[in-house]
Amino acid sequence: MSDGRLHLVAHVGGRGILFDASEVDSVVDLPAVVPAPGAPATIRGLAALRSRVATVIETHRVLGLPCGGGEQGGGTRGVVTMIDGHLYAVAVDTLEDVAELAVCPAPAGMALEGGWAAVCGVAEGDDETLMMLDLRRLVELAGD
Amino acid sequence: MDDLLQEFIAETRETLEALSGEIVGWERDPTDRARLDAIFRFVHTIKGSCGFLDLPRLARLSHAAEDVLSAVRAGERQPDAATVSAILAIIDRIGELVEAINSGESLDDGDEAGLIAMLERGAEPAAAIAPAEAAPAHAFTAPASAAPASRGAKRSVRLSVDLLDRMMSGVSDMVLARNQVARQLRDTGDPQLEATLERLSMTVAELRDTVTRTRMQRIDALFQSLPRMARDTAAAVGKSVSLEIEGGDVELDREMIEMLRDPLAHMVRNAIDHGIEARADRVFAGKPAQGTLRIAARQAGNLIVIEIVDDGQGIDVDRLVEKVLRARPDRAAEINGWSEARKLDLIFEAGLSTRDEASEISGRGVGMDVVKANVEQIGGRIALKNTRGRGLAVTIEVPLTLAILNAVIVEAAGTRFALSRQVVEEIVAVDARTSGALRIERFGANAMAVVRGRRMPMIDLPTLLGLHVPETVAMVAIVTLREGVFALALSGVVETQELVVKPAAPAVMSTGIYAGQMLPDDGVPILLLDVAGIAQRAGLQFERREMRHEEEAAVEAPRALLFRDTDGCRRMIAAEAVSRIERVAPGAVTRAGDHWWVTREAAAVPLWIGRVDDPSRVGTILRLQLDGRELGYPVVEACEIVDLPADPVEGPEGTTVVMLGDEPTELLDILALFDGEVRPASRPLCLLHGSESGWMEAFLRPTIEAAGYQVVRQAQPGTTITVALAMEEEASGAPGRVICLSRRAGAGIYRGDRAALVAALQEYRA
Repeated sequence: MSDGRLHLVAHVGGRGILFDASEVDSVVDLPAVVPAPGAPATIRGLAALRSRVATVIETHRVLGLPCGGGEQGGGTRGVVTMIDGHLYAVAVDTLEDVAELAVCPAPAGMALEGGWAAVCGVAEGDDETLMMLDLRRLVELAGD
Repeated sequence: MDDLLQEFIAETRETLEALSGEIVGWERDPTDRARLDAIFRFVHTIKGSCGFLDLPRLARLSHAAEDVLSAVRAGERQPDAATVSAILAIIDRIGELVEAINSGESLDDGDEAGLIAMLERGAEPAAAIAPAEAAPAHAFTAPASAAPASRGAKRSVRLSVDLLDRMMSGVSDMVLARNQVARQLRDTGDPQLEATLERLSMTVAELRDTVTRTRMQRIDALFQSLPRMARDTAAAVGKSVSLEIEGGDVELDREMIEMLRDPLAHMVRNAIDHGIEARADRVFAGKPAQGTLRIAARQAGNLIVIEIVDDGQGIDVDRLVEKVLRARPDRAAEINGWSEARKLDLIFEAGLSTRDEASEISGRGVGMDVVKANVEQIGGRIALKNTRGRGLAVTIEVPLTLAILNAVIVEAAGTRFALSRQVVEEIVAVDARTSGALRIERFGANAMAVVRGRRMPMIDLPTLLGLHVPETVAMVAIVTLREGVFALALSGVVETQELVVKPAAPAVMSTGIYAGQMLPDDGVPILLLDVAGIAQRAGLQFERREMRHEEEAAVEAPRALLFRDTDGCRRMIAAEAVSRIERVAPGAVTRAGDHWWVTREAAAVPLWIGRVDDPSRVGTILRLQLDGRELGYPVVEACEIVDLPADPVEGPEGTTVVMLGDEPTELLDILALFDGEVRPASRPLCLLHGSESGWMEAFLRPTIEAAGYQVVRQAQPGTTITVALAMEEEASGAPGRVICLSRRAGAGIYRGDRAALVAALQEYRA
């Protein structure tokens, strides 16, 4: 089943994930962030993307994956999206490709817990299953 | 004023355009409630603006249309064809007038009176439509031919907010790029290049200011028209009101300012017209004669809060409910079960008013539904805090979409934060050499700052947020909230800057300690701290000031009413004795018997005329009460309520004089006033007995009353009849002592012999 839509392929903590390219504003190298003490650990802080301030989502923590080490956590690349008038940068380790992929529903019976509740489909990658994440849901889960 | 007029014109044009569809729809289906409400709101808004902008013709038209629409809304009038076309004619006329004002043309009066008359008649369509159709035709010719010659109106266009936002963010990008270029060029040392860059910098800075101004406006813009409006409104209803405005320097999104303009104007008019009492009533209620209306804007968290607080009479919830039930008796069961607060919210229902009569100023109760609709349209909330007799506080909260704030940038918990300058009273450094100025004392998890002997709770962010790195407190910011003061521990202060605040992402805002995010010129984001949120999260509990206020009221000294007497002197009377201050209608003072009386609501109150030259010209009285007896004391005006000075001085001729400030003032002896008065209740009763009592009442009553009796025709249980009058043949049935009257002169007491009757009555009275 190909829905003919473009997807962004990325990796976080060794896991392959997918985003709907139409939901993505841009892809950036994440600059240093200003922490927001008191906010959940899933929020890395605020980063200025040119003159706009984005809230950086610590994707590893949302998904419960091991961090790649280093001060800034694992992800140094950011998938930028605008949700309800707020700009977010979802941190990922690597960004591979933009591709048209066949996405099918997650297998019935899979328990998708925590951040994985944002999974809205799966697709076949290179010897791995790519989990398609709904950005809006992912950002919501980061805030919980 | 010109700006306001331009805004009014632009707004009215736009609304008219949007409304034209509604009007057509309403014409087709006059029972359509939603459309009716929309048209009503339009007319109501026009009326409000006109009063302030001094456009009497528009005001007259809109007032007339509003009256009729309101009657239709209340179901008192049917929206028949004639009514609909009359309303439409008025709306057309409003459009023409607005165009005429814009082009600076004068439009002759046309048939405005006719339009209004037609509206009031509502019937006779054949006769009425004719002038309505004639008017537009007549009106159109004038502006059309004169338009090219008219003075150039200030031109304006409307832009989408989106476009402005893109422009703003483009300019912000440019500022950041400029800063970068400046840093890179600083090392080259080329003076010519530096000069060019300097010029570019200035241009960019100017551009940023201009662009910011396209989107932002000081909230002052909203407030500056209020003093005049308050003054005019107060003058129109004969009240005196002082207006206090706070927080005008907050800069806000223009969009919000526009949306808030009408609600605010409505509420100021409402407060003055309905809330604040007439001078005399205020004096008597123990309030300063001048009412106070306070309007304050402040930023609290991610909200802009505007408060409109008056010290008037508040809303009478019982009357409000009564009013609703009169229109909708079927809701009685539902409403009676509601809490007081819920009942109060009835004020927001469409078409409701607490006033029985509309006034020129604010109409009916007024359009609180309009106010609420406007506020909610921009995602805001409106709340009421009603204290019967003490005043009404209306709080409007609108989300902070964008604001410019004067911010202090500080360091705490290893990060930079911003604090609003408005809340920072002072920043005090911890310095070993001046150890007296600031001392920090810790006990357990809590800390206290002692600044020059003033103690206050201290909060440090690492402790509050459970961070592992303890704060190195180098200074504290003394933060003032409405409720109290606390110290916020800081490790440094960077600078102050004017910055645009935008809301942060929900995940960040949900911590409750941030009010928004900012991006200064160096391109590193900063979070704005919400000090009220911090205080709340830290569990600070400030003593409520209001409670203390009430305790003070409980131990009040006896008070006296100071007034100007009819002879021009200022005198005082114990406030306790005055039940009301009343205006006396012309002709209400009459002479009867040996006394002057004030008639009011069919009851007559004796008037004390000791110092009055001409009692018939008395304008205001104090109604005094003493154990069920009443007396009217004429005055020129009531001045104020004062504390009764403790030590009276004996004045001449047995008067009591007290020193009020350095002015000796006579304190009235209430008992003496009542002493010289008639006492209807203490007159002996004279019973008219038997079948002739009707005749006796008609013929003898004045005589009997002149003899000092009160006349009754039936003995009420519990009253003592001093004497009874009866005809000879019925005398045996009368109770107690009886004066027998004969029908013929010469035998006993002839009933026509006044002197004999008075003598007999007086004998029994003694």
